[in-house]
Amino acid sequence: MRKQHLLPHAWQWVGLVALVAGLVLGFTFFVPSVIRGDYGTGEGIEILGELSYLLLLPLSAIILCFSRENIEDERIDELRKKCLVTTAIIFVILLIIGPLKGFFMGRLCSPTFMGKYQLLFGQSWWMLFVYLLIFKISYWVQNKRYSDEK
Amino acid sequence: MKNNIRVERARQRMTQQELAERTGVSRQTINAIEQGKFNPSTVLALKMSLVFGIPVNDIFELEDGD
Repeated sequence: MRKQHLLPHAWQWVGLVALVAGLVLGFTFFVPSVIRGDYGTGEGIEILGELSYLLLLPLSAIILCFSRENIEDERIDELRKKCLVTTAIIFVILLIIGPLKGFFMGRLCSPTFMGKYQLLFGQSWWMLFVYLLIFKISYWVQNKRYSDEK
Repeated sequence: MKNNIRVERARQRMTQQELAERTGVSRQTINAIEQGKFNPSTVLALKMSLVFGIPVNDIFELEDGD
């Protein structure tokens, strides 16, 4: 990934604000509504929940994933590529075991639970957060490992 | 790939931070290269060669397994 394709570092603050707003709105409106089972029935304030889950969280994930770090050099470039490959492998594994998971969950869980699970965790943009988690942890570990001058 | 960056730095009384600033990378990256954990690109190797004023071959050398 070339650094000129990334957003400036300051955008990470925009992403963080969007993430916090998305989480607060999501856990206040969307998640309780899905768990209660009244999501999609037209009752309650659905627009705020949808705003968080369909707009703020994916948007914050995109901004946080594709904005530059403080110093974005070729080591960080390589780290990004490695983390992207790891995330892609996880995604492919999840795709492969998806039908298997559906088969067993279909027999073990009720269709209502399956619906709720799909609404909360079935969004493909969750993979952006997986990438973000892998990248941030690796970034922190590498910087800590190489921070002592010998 | 082996490198003599630490030796050259010591010879020229240069800190990792100074070398990092002059080559446009972070100090952690210089540290990772010195420890042999990260192989620099050709561009970065040439920049180091310019900073030290010696050929790239004198800074980096291939090992048997490379």
